[in-house]
Amino acid sequence: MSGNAGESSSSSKMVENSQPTTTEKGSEYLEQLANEAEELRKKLDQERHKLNDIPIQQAAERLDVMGILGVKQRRILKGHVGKVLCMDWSLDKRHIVSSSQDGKVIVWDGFTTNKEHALTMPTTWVMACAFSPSSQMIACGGLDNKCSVVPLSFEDDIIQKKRQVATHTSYMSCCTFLRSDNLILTGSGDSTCAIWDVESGQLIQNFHGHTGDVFAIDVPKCDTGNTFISAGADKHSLVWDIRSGQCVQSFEGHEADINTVRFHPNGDAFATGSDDATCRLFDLRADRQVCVYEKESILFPVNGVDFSLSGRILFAGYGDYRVGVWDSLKCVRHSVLYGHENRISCLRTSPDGTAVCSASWDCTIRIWA
Amino acid sequence: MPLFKWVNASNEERLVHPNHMVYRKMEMLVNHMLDAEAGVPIKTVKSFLSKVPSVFTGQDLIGWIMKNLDMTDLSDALHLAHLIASHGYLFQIDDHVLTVKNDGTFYRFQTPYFWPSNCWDPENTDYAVYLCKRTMQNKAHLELEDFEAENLAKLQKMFSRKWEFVFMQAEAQYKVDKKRDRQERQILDSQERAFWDVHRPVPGCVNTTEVDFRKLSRSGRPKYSSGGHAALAASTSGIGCTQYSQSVAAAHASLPSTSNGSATSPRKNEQEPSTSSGGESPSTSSAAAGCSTATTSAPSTSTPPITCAPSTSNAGSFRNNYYARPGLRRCTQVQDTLKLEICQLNSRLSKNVLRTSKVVENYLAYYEQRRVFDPLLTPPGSQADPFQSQPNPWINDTVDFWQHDKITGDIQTRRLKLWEDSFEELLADSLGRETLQKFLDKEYSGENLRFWWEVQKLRKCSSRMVPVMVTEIYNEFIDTNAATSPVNVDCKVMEVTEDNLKNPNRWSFDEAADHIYCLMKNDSYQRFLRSEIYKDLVLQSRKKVSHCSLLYFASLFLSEPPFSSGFSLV
Repeated sequence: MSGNAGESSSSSKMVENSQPTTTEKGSEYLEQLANEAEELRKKLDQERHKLNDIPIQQAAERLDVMGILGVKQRRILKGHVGKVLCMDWSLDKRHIVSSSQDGKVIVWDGFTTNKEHALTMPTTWVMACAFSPSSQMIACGGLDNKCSVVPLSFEDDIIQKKRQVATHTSYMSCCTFLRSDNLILTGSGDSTCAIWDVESGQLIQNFHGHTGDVFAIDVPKCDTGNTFISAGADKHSLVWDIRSGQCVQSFEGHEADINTVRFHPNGDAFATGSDDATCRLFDLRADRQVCVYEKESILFPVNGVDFSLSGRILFAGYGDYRVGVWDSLKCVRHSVLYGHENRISCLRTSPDGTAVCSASWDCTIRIWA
Repeated sequence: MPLFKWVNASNEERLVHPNHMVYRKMEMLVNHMLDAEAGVPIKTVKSFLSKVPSVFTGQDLIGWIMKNLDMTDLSDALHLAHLIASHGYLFQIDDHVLTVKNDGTFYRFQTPYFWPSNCWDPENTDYAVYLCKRTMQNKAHLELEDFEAENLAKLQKMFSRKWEFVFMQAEAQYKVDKKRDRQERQILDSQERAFWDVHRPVPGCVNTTEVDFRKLSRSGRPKYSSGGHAALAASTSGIGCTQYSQSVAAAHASLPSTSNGSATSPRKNEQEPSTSSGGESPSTSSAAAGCSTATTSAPSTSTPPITCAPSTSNAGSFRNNYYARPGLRRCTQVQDTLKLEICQLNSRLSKNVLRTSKVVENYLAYYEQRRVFDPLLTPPGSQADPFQSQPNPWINDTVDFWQHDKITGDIQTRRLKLWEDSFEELLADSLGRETLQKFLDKEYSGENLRFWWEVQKLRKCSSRMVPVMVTEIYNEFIDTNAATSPVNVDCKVMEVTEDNLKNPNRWSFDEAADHIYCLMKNDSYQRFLRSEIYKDLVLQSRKKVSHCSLLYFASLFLSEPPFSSGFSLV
């Protein structure tokens, strides 16, 4: 817990702000409660530790080593003139939406590398963009604290149809449609996540619990669940119940900001990437961290992670311009993809697993297969 | 020693530079390299008439990295060396481009004073003074490069009014420099040049000092303080490491050539939340707790108190620990939040949790099952692909892989196999759902799937439609007396559903739908896989697979029993 050292300074503030009408009894009661919580926390740690019977590498020993994958750069999408900050795949498996620091949002046909739509947002640093499941609509936002949706059509000027759906009290760092074009899930620098009704812009549910900026969210692929995960500057990943708005599980382990989070395709685990230069695997049913993907010579933050379709390969986009290809079960780095010339900001596997796409501060988007 | 500045800074973690983690790690490495015995061998080299002091070769550096970081891959080592160079920790002695080659080229280490962790973010005036000084130095190797000359011209225009002042400063610096020892000056000149190559890089080179906007929130960005915005910035700037929070704009507009308009806009936006969130909802203020380090130093903040509960300094210490813990909705009373946490911890303790070995077994099973569907592990159309699909569109530049079903009217074998492997996949595929619906209609239990699907639609419909859809679903499937096609849910689930309907919402039928889902999965789904409908589809799609691949197919299915269940071999 050494990473929490910085939190201590916030105590002084609490004390200053609290009212001086303290009764001795009240504080004793508080202390008692806090001690109880502390005891429980210790007990929980012990319990979880006991269940950690063998390291994942050992359990996966019988597995063959992954052969040469032949993954190479297959497409490069050029057109942004600022840092590309986010991208998302359309469910049609070939279209891509991307947003950049200079306020541009571009919809690409990744297969032909053609630009199909381009719009200029009234803000810089468009940190999040997303394709709707029907591929008829995109959502984007960033420093404007808002999430706007734009229906895609070739007939008229689409920017005219732009509508604001969500408003946060700080920048919007991530957004995704929630299984339909009707609902949108956003995460923000105001340390909350929220679900919004696209049609009316009405807030359906908000999620309080993070103690720092939220940087990433992800929704499981499986249609039936009612949960999603979020992670951010407080180094924790939280699992939320969409119906109640309550946090149902929390995961710790990272030593710095978590920049990205992605579900394992089986929906029972997720990977995270952080400023501490590691990726980690957390399991919902095990209720703890099960693996760390790190290497002494990797110094740079992880800004994007995603799995291959079978969950065996974990792709990680680093601040050192490279994509690391990890064997998620043997916990070794399999290979490295070179190509980008500046930090990678975002990385995603295509919906059918045929390709991986990375966006970078070098103004390009690259597709690897 | 400026080298350890970050250590002090880490006490107030939120005041450090957004890149500090990277700087810290690189500096640890560079310090190893600087070690007199185990480090990179530094020497003074003789050339023609003069000596080149304190240099090392690219070869030596790469060799050291490979040996000390246990690397086997040369390109990996080269890349790391390049990154260290591009952050300005070492530089080629006579080139502006900060990169490393694995040959006999000479490099030099940067002095810790100029390391980026000192949060330089130098001003354009400083740059002007430096360039101006270079023009005075009248030496061949110090002559301005083209891009520097251009920058100088731009700066001269920009600072035309105070150019005299710039010139005077440059002159003064030049005089001081001249008094230095020749070799010392040589080293200093190169280090100063490398410093500016980091902060004002050659066009086309990456500016490594740029920061992620989101990360500025960690560095004392006063985004939640409602009052004293300017005062705050002033008070924190004294700490040294936060200058850049004021000059965010400068971080984005690294060169004078960048237009001022674009540089100031993020700053303007940044202030927006701070003013608009002026102390209202408790949620915003609780978030402020995270950034309160910055606000503590401000003389007067009008942020609303995070909690009204009383506390002694003693209580404050553990309460602080408590507040560091994310995942809880905050209550107005501290004891309520603590109780909530205890409750949550207890429920976590009582939960049945899997062992690591069990969890890994699950991953392995999933991998074994899905391996053949993973286009990156089993390239479609390759020898290893049991389905003999069309090749990966991204590699072969044909879209057949995506279009196959549309063109031929058949369903790909891989798709059918996926339906067999998992009920979720069958339902997730619209064609799969249709096929299942056909089968269920034949079995006179079609209402189950239709009910489940309607509930899924309700869960994700727009808010306006919720009441309408709830009524529709109720009337069609649930109403015990008048439903047009009632679904068969047991009384317990019915009770829950009736209860939910007192306050109807998009989740009212979830329990009933889950119940039906299990029914279908355990019963109808198994029969579906054995049905003629499904078997015909499999047969049809297999006919298309060429003869030789069929043989391959057969061998695969024979050797791996888990796959053979649904496919009867001809």
